Parts: sequence; C-alpha cells; structure tokens
Amino acid sequence: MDHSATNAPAAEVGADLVFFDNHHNKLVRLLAKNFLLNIITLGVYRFWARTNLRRYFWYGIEIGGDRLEYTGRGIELFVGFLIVVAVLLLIGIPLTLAQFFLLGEDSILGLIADFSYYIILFVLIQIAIFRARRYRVARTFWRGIRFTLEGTSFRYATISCLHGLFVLLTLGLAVPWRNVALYRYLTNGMRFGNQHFSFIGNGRELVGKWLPVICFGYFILALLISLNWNLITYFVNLVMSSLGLERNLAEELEQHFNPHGWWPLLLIPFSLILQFWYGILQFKYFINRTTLGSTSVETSLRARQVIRYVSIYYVVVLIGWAVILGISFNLLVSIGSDGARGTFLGSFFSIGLLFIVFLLLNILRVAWLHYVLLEIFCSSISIRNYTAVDNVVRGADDSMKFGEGLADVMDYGEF
Amino acid sequence: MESFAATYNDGLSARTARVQVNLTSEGLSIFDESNRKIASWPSRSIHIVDPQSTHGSLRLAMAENDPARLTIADDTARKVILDAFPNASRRRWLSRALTIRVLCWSVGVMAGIALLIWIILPFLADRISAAIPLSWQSRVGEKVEKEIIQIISLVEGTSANALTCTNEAGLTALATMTKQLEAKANLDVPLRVRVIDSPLVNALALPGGHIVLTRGMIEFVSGPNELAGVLGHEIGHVVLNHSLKRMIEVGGITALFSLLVGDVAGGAIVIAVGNALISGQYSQADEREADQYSIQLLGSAEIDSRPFARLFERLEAEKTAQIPDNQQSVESQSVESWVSSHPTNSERANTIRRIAQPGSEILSQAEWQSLKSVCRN
Repeated sequence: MDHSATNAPAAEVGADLVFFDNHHNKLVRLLAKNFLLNIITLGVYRFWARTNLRRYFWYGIEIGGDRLEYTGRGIELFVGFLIVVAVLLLIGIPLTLAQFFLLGEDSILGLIADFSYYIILFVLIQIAIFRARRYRVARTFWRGIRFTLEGTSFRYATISCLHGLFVLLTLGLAVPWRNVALYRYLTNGMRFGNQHFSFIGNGRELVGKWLPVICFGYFILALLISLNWNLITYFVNLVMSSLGLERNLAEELEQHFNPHGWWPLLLIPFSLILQFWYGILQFKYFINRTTLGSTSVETSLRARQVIRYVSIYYVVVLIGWAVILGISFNLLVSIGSDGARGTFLGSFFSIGLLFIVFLLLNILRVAWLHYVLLEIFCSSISIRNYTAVDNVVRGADDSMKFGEGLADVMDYGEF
Repeated sequence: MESFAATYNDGLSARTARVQVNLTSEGLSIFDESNRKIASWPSRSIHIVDPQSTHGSLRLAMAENDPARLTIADDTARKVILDAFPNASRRRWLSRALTIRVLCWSVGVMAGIALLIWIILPFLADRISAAIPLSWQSRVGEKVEKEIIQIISLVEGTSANALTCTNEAGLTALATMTKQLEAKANLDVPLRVRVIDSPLVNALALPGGHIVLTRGMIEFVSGPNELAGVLGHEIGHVVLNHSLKRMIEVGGITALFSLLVGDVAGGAIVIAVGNALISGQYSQADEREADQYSIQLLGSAEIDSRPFARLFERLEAEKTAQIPDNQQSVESQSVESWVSSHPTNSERANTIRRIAQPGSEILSQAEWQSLKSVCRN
C-alpha cells in the first residue's frame, strides 16, 4: 500500500496522536433529551442517560487514529442498582433504626451509633468508587481490546481508610501520600489486554507543592480565629455557663462581635484555586509517571489554562444560582399568598423557568466545561514509544456482569 | 462488487491492520495486505458499533460479543455500507442469555423487596418493638409528641406551649376518666394523656404510653362515654404497641425508597414516620384490634360502651353529608383525617354494636362539663 508509510508513527515521541472531538450540537441535544426523560421517568432514565453520555465522550477520544469505545449498557447499570438496593437494605434498615433511636441522644451509645454510621458510609463510598471504576474500565475498548481493572474493592477501601486516618493524624499534611497510594492501586491493577499499567511515584515528590496549599488554608483559619478571638471565648463561656436566660444575649453578642474580623473569608476562593492548582499538578504527576509496558505518556497540560476555564464556569454558575434562588423565592411568595387560582399559571411558569435554568447550567457544565477540558487534556498528550502498543494481545476476560449500583446509590460519579 | 480500504482489529491483538473489504451478497469479505482473506462477515449480524455517531469514521462489528472491529474512514464507502446493511444501525437488544439473566435478577430483586415489605418487615417490627426497653419507648414517644405539637402549632399559628390545654378542673376530670380505664388495662407504662387546642378531630397514641387528644375531638363527641371509647381505643394501640410497630414498618419502607432515589442521609425517613403518626395510618387490622380492646376495657370497667358505636354512626353520617359539598369546612376535613385510614365506619359501628355492653356513665355531668372546657383558661 502506498500510503502506509505516511501514516506510520515514525517518530519515537508522537505529539498529536491523541485528540478529542465529536459533534457539539449532538451533545446539547443528548443533554436536553436526558434531562427531559429523567424528569418524566422520575430519575429512572438516569442509567441510560449516563450510558449515552459515556458513549459520546468515549467515542470522541481518538488515539492513534482509533477511537475509544464504551460498551456498557443502561440495563447493566439499572440491574446493578437494583442488586445494590437489595443488599443495602440489609445494612440500611438496622442502621436507620439505630440512627432514629440513638442519634442526637446525649448518651455514649448515641455517639457510637452516630460515629459508626458515618464510618460505614465512608467505607461504602470507597467500595463504590472502586467498583464504579472497575465497571467503567471493563467497558472500555480500544482497537478491539478490552481494558481491565484487577484488585478488590475491599483492599481499596482498606488503603483509603488507613491513609484517611493518617491524613487526620497529620492534620492534612499526608494528603499527597494518600492520593499516591490510591492512584497506585488503581493504576497498577489496570490492564490493557495482557499488558499491565504501572505507576512509580512517591508522595514525597508532591508534598512540596501541597505545603503552600495547606499552609494558606491554615493561614486563613488562623486569621479568622485571631480576629474573632473575643467572640470565640465568649461562645465557649456561654456554653460552659449553661445559658443564663435572663441575660441579654443580643447585646452581649454585639459587644463581642468584630465586624472587621471577617474579611479573611474573602481569601477562601484563592484557597480553592490553590487547591485546584495542586490537583492539576498532581494529575500531571500521575499521568507522566504511568507506563504501559515500554510505552509512556506525557502531558503538557497547563494549570493556568484549566483554572481559567473552571473559574469562568463557576462565575456563571454563581449567577445561575442567583437566578434560581430569585425565581424560587418569588415562587414561594406567590404560593404563600392567597388567591391560589391566579398564581397557578405564575408558579407553573416559574417552575418551567427553573427547569430551563437547570438545563442550561447542565449544558454549560457538560457541553462546555467538560468538553473543553477533555479537548485541551487530550491535545496536551504525547506518547513515547507508541508502536509498542501493537504487541499487546487480548487478556483473560474478567469483567463484572452488572456494575456501579453502589456508586449510583451513594450518589457518586457522573461519568 | 464494491471494494474499499479500511482498518481492521481482530480482537486478539492491538495491531491495526490495513485491509481491503469486498462487499458481496453474503456480507463483507476482508483481505489483508497480501490479499489473503482473513475474515468474512455475514450480512445478517453486521452492526454499527456507535449507531448515533455521524462523526468521524464508521465502526462495524460482526456480532454482539465479538470484539473484532472494522473501521471505515472513507465517506463514499460509508454510504455504500449504510445502504447495503440498512439493519446495521438498528438498535441492538440484549443477547438471549443476558436477557434471561437480567430478567432473573430483576424478578428476584422485586420479589425480595416484596418479601421484605410484606413479610420480613412486619415480622421484624413485631420482634423489634417487643425488644425495645420501655424507657427507650417513652423517650421516642416524648420526642415524637414534641415534634407533632411543633408541627400543629405551626399550622395553628401559635406557640407550642400555648397549644397544650391546662384548665385544672378539666384535667382533673380527664384524669378521673383515664384512671378508671388505666386501672383495668394491663399497661407496662403509665399513661400520659395530653389535650391540645386544635380544631382537628383527632386522637393519637404514641410509643411509651403517650396519648394526644384534640379539643376538636372532645367537642365532636356527644358524651363522656363516647370519649371513653376513643380513649380506650388509643389505650388499645398503646397496649398492643401499634405505633412502634408502624414506626418501624414505615421507617423500613421509607428507607427502601429513599435508597431508590438516593437519599442516604435518611431525612425522608424521619418525615415519613412523623407523617404516618400524625395522619394515624394504622392498618385496618390494628384499628379493629384497638376497637375490640376498647369495648373490652370499657366492659371490664363496667362502663356503657354503646355510645362508642353511635360515634361511628355519626362520623359516617358526617362523611356522607360532606360528599356533595366541595368547599369542606376545616372541621369536616379534620373528621376525614381521623377516619380516613380506619375501616368503614358503618362496619365498625356494626361490629362495636354487636359486642358493646351496657354499663354506667364514666363521668358525672359536672365532670363532663369541666372536661369539655379543658382548653379554656
């Protein structure tokens, strides 16, 4: 064949092998359809909606001329969900009863019930994260070869819990080590065909970037505490002295309240941006240290670029929520007042408007933000020793039959 | 015979092969670069992998579970394929094995949920409610009573404290009535009867011996023995521990459905349990048991229980009289709320009339008058 030479990846480092593109207006149509059907079916359609979206995004990613393929089915998600509901009921009913009878009580028993409830919830979320990941990986194909995630959700939950404890004990300093441990478990367990992925990294190499983030967070906290020290000691005393009811609390509060003590709250958005910045650097670190056999990937993603898009998104979302709150308030007022007939049309109109704002925000998030981020991420990737992938052959199939129910029930994960 | 270039993945290795594809009457024949036939795909099972994608290249698969893929980038070839296999973009259904498995799981899970709601939960409710210590029961009762009074005070637009009726003579008369019944009832906990200043015609029994009567109920009954019947009925719920059983059942079912919609925190459960208690949603069996208990209790206290049957006759008459009227008064709506989940009133009246016994008046006329003004200060 005459054109085979031009298409062969001759260079050792392939810079534009990966990119993302798919029809934009198709995505908008898909989102609108999902939104409507979700409302009509009271949310049951969400399994099929999610499947459609994944198929769209997977198909949009092209690596070396071949697109990814998502082979999951809505029905698999639905049945997985039903199974998890059945299983969770066995845990959930006693737990709920215990919560109802014991929660909020001042006894030790109540405290234990309260505490163990959240512990169990945390463990379940970790299991859900792993199972959801495994399902998605197992439903991903490229060049007719399946990806697989080995390992157990129990092991993942254990790693997460132990490292979570470590993070608590170090007051957050150990976050890079935890993230590295979790990413390592997920990556080293992943296969493409018969070829294992591998990640070599250490939290030590990230802690230098994490330190300014956490320091800034504590700096804001320290500022808030020192500026409002009066108020805090006042509250502590108030609780200790078991509430003298004859005292004029409002007046005392005014005395201890420092109106100039709250400006550090304005620093919180910067703290969030800093955290986001760390997240991107960590993501790059993870990607750049991940290999598939002798093939490795490098991303030149720029944190500044990502932060710009995300910031624009959040500003628009804030405006959107202001509109939503405004409409809702209006709605409440009109329902509260008399003359129900006259306001019926008005509230109908307001609810319709609310739905439209929600839909628009959803479109903005998925069809703009996610789309753009995926686009810049994919085009930032270069692959070293790309041709070695050709030697991969199909591995043993060990996929889950039905998946992700737990993640859905725990309301975790969208794609 | 049409022929075009494509790329081929055999599903065994990640190598993408350049192939030549021939369109024949049987389907597609695929030839490698040295013109060797490497696969032939029958037209019947060929399908498009991403039927919605009109973008990029066309990707074909041979069969449902076959990972082999044929990718066609050329636009004219794409049109030829789409014309040749009109069924290729048809929606794929599940394979038979998977369909059966899905059906089995779905039926199994539905059956499990049904089993849980109708058999396991009532059984558990029975056992759990019996196992809960009395001190806990009364604490739960207190908690729920507080909540209910809070809600009603919001509806009535008064403070929770003002809602409780405290007229001393009235409370004494009420205590006289309660004591006579309590003495004959085999209760594990002391009764705590509270009257609230609400026009709703209602009476509730809560765990731990808490009973709430409304001013509406006291005004609706025509004599002390009718009220004694109502009180006996609520004592029946207390003795038979109905409210705790219902709380556990409703809590369980709500937990089930809050899982379905993803509300794990359980906020809906507390609301549903409270709601079930306020609207008095006992099962009809519970109501019949409580009715019977009431008659027996009044009988053993040698109190005339016949007026209790008359109460239901009046409730029934009230209800039928309201039907043509769309604009229900507050009072008629509240009558509705006490009887809505109860067995039909005429049926109850008949049953009660059959077993009711004559006896004495539970309160003197003077005592009844002061009980009626328990909410006046």
